[in-house]
Amino acid sequence: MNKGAKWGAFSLLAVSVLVGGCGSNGSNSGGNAGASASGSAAGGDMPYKGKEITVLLEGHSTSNAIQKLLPDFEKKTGIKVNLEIVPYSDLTSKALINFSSRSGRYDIVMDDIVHGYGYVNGGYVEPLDSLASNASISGDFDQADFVPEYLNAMKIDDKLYGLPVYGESTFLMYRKDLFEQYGIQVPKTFDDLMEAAKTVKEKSNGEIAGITLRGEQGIQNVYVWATFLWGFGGQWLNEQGMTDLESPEAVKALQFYKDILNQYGPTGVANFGWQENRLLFQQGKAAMTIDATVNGAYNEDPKESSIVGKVGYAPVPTQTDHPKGGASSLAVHGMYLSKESQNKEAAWLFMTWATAKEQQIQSMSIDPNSGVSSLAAMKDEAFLTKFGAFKDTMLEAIANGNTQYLPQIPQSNEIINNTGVAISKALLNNKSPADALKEANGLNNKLLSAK
Amino acid sequence: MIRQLVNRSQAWILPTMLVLGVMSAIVMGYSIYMAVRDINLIKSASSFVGADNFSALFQDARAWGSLSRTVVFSVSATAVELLFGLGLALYLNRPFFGRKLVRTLLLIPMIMTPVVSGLIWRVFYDPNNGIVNYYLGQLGLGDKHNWLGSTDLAMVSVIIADVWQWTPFVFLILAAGLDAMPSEPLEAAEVDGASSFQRFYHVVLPLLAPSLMIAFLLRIIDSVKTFDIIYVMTRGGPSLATETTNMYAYIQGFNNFNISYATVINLTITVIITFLFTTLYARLSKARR
Repeated sequence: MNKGAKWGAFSLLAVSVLVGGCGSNGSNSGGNAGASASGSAAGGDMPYKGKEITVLLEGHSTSNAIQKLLPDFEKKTGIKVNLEIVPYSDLTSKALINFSSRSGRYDIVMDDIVHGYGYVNGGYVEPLDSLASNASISGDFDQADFVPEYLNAMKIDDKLYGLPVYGESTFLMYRKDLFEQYGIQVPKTFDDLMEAAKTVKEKSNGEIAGITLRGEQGIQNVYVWATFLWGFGGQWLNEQGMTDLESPEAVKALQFYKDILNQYGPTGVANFGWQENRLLFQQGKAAMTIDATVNGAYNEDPKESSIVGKVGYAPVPTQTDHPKGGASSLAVHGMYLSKESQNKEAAWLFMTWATAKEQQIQSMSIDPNSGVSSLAAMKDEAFLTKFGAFKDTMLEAIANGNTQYLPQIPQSNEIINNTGVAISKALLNNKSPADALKEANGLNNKLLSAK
Repeated sequence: MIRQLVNRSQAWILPTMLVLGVMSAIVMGYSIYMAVRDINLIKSASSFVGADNFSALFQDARAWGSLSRTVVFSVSATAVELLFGLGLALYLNRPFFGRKLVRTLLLIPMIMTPVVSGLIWRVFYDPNNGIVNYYLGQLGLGDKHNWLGSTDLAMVSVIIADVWQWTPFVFLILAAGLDAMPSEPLEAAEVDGASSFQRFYHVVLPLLAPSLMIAFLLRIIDSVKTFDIIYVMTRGGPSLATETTNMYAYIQGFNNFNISYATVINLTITVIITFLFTTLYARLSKARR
């Protein structure tokens, strides 16, 4: 073999090795093959009998419940449903790749409203209003049963684009016992928060961190830092639609985030995601945290937590009396209907069934979660026993939840990522908060003006 | 005539070359198509932009930073793995009780899925509950090390995890090389009175050179591609400290949905790496001749 051929073979090998992309793992299809409708029901009851739809769901307790209850739906309607359940982090790219190739593979996709704006912008999803007004296929659809804030969050330009599956807000969690022991009042402002964190750290001789928050670069730290951005009176986007992260309020928010974590936070906080943050608090190694309302369920679960019953819940503190928007989040995950779907009516039947109160109430005994979108399910006994400790504060946080808590525009993912890097740089003292935010703001505005 | 073809070794490589060639050409062709457009998954249409993506890349400081971190990661991880792998192979290349068991146990990290080993290391490194800090504390070396949460240590921590996983692979190749080594040259050297260092340096090492080169090339190509453990352990953070080019391309492609730009990043690094390695390979094989 001559030298040229040998080189060629080697470079081919190298190329083929390098070009191999990132395989997506963890896509387990939970299709429920059985349960074909028995022929006894009258054909008129099942106008969509024999239709087949494919649904992409997020790995979440609600999805587990839907999967368990699915045979009921297939029996009732004769529609065959293929469920694919994938983790949240793979969900959007999987959906977008299928949407953008116009494959029509998924009739329904479940996702976060942050990505819903991208779906609507790309023209991938169908408004639901005409389906919802068709009474013959909307027997399961009860607008009044959805948490109103959740349903509103699914509307863009007054059109309904999705049905809420679950949602959450953010609140302050604190250790009642430690607060009592050290004589601390529940923080109302960020100054109070700093003072409380200082007191705990000093009086416990550094044994207990004053506060723990997420520091991991990206959506993790942005999701919590945004509380401080709004609470100090800042905002993501200004009236011109450009990013507003160079404002003095935003700089103050980042300076505060950095100071409180570096002075009174736990070691390693810069790599803390939701999980690490939650675990540290549950183990009683931190006196306060601000995070998603769903964490309440973990705090009160004796199998998970060593601080059951010791946690107080309060609205997130704010510094200014005139915020440009609420400082607690409103995150909603819902089901969207693909424009390419061949069976839109059948898909609508499934969406309304899966989010209806009967199924949500049943989910309370299968795999309960505090984020249910049905008001009736929140009155359920299982909900109250499990989540009663924080239910009222959670509902208050949801009522005050800010739909613009994260930027709600098609490019939000990239803006969040740029900002997450800035927060991380400031936390590690690689850049001053002002410089880090200036850099992120520049990148964001370049992106936004490149339309 | 068939006999003639069979005798010529090229004929046997032909099918493989064909398949590899066609596959690479398709992937390459489509990549180039994507590279000259501005495909973003959240926009419904894309248009031809020529070399804009490439010129954007040359001005992208984050991309160049990630390239230098890729070099740091690959070179140091590979070097340490070769060193440890060689040491282990030499040390275990003698008869002792339980040798087979020890060799099998050594391979466990290698057969573990990288995502799983990344998760395990993330738990090990946990600054407040992890066993790394616990044992260091027991040894009096301090228990507050901030492994993944500081710019100085994060890269080192990720490299340690990579070394833990892939040293066995180097060991495996080198141990096989040692097993296959003829004993005569060593015996001859011993008879001639060569010291153990001389025997290692002048006899064992040259004979092991082909295995070392294979291990080096496989490891360096693989470590440039490393994605899973970084994704799981740090997501490229904190403050971009562990963001390699692959990780950055992932963020651009699957977080920001800039598919075209992500393709350009990967194409560029592929060209650089292919050029580097073909040159390196040619140099190394020439040096051996």
